[in-house]
Amino acid sequence: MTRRRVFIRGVGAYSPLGATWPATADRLAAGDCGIAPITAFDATGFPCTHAAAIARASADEEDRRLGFARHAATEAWAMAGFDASSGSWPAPARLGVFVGAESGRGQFSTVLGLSRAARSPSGAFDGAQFGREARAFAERIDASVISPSAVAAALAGDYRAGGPVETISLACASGSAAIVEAARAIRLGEIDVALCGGVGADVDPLMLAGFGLLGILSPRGVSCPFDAQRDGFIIGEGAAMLVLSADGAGSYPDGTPLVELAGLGRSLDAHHLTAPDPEGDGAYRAMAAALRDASLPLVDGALSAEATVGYVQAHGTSTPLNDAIEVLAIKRALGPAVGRAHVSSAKGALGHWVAGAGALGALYAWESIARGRVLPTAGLRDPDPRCDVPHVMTVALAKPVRTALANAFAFGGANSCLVLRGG
Amino acid sequence: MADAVAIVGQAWRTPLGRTVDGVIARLLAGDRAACASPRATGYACSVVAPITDEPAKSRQARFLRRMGLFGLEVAQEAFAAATAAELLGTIDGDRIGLFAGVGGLRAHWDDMMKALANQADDGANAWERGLRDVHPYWMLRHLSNNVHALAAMELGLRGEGATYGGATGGAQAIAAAARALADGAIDAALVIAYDSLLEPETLVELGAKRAATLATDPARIAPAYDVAAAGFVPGEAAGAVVLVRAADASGAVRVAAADGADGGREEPAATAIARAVRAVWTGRQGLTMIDGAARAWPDRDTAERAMLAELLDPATPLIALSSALGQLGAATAVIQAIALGALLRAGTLPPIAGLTSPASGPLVPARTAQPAGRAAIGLTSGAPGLYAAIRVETAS
Repeated sequence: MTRRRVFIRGVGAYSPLGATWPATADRLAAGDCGIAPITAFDATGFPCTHAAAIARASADEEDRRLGFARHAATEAWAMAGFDASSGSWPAPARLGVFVGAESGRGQFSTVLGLSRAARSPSGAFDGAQFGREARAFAERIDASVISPSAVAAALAGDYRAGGPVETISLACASGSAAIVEAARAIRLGEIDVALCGGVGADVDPLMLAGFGLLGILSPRGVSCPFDAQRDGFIIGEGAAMLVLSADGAGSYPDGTPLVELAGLGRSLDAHHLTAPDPEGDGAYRAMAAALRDASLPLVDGALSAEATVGYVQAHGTSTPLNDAIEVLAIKRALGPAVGRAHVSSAKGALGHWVAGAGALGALYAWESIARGRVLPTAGLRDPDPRCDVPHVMTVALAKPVRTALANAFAFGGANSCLVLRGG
Repeated sequence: MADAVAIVGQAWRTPLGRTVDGVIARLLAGDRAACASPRATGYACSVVAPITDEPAKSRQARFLRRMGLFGLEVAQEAFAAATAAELLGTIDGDRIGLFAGVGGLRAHWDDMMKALANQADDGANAWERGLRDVHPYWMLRHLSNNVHALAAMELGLRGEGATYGGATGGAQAIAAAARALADGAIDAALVIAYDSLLEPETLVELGAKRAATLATDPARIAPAYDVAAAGFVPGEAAGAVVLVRAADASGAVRVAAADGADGGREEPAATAIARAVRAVWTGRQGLTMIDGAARAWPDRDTAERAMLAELLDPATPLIALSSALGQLGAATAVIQAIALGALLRAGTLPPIAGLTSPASGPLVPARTAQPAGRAAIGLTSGAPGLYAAIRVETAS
């Protein structure tokens, strides 16, 4: 079977640090951090009171995923240079949309109103009463808008995509897994162009409570992946989108050669619903699969000493367990070559975008190759000895990178890794 | 045309039963699962097609609600069937993928009522007013990929895969599994899909939008493609299939899937569904039957039939599994794959259950069970603008 190569023609982001990827990346490079006390709702007493949030457009905004994703998609599409007037716009049947997204949520006040409509005298949920009383709410809530597929479906309309339109809901690996799916569809000839990525909009009382009750948020309100003081993650939100194409001709608007999405690797831990495999085996297998898929030589399961991965965008959540296990897996996959790599995590500055995290990681990897700029791990001051890889701290590192690896690992033990390669 | 893969294991839970042979017999007999279930009492949409079984006791019940438990059950059954047939015996767990289609998160109100009981209108002090009392596993019960993760654990599946969301989740999962097989990432795939349109907020929504029937007498509900059709019956189901490359199981039923969206917030236009039909079937002739999207509103049914007649032989028989099982959301494509495969193997297509006065138009709504050939397609449609098609074929 002939497998086509896949290239990244455009990238875009909408983040707490900027409305575009270049604006975001410049602030990240300078060491800025988007994490702050939560002001969108009363977070008093929650296990964590900080987040990397995007300011709300209005107080009664319902579901914000689509707005974020549209911003990022517009930027990525413009960079890709497809233009209807010049005839370069992909034929509808050859364009697909693949988005990592979870279900949206109504406002807390809406959820509260629905619960009151359903409350029996004993306080329990009364289904029949809900059926009678909740009809008024149904007129105010458009369930199709908070469907997990609402974002991908709307983008398909925006860009006249007539190919596959898929929504990957794989928790923290959703965005990366969506990119894998898109790349595979191009690689196998199903489509020629894909708009793909991920979006998270989880700075919300229910999500903050849910994650907080699991004990995985930072009580200090600090995200510091790989740091000895790390104590949990910080919820973030935003969208990162990419335009992929089978056509590797041309360059980015600044003349830089296109970056290739050269390797795809996914795996399942089959170990535990929340905890990673203690040896990092699932994470390792996804990384090794992606490296192998990119035709990088592996010897005894590790990258050959002659090969180089210049940058690793780690999943790096800032939780005590995950970061140390990820480093184990990185060292196993890269072997001695780990010494030539630099490692950083987006979550120090932008928090954890959950369904959008993997796509944001892909942009970090793209930045390292296309711009020669390895973005730092914000918040990392005192690296944990168990996380002994070459870190990028404080500010960006100028470094020519030809090959980069981007990791995303999810609750439930689903792992997704991407290998990007420069021209 | 989308590449087909072979089905080497299958299982389901449907409103008409839990065994494949038993449900097929009831489909061929024209049985309908629609009933006035206590679960729909008080709702504008009160006739539904529920699964009448309850899930078996499971150690994973702390993490999964009812439909998730059904999803896990069918995953285990389908995988056991494929393993028993020795079709998976030589494949290592690292090379077996897992793909799941789900409709989307549900509120799970039972978990939330206590936490919301004393909340202020403006959400002030929400933690102290009750959110701190939410069950610690609430988040895990809400994980969209919890069945995916638990099935991987239970079955030792360590290959790759993901969970796909929305009304076409099942079709997306089949398509993704086929891609992973074609790309050489795995050698077998377990595909699970489950959904319920009987959840409280879904029933409210379907009633308010008048997508589902508002009739109160199950015996008087006209099915899709009938002149008196006035809305579908919401249903629920869980299904699982084990897939391998077609070349690795030459005698097995084959399936291919394609999906898309037209960008609208409501049901997709019939002209958009045509894209998926074309992706799975390129000729005009040769189809034994079409399981229609069957939304059971005359304008939609008419548009769907006109679109199909543009692409396919207008004399092709038209069936509607949903007339018997209800609309099944994200589970549709996997249930269709199992049902259409079994029907093709049986050499018989089922009647549209309850059809008494077929609306005029192209294609031939099936009023009785009839002989069937080798190939069928099944359609899915749902909001927001989502559509899918699968092609099912028996080996020549």
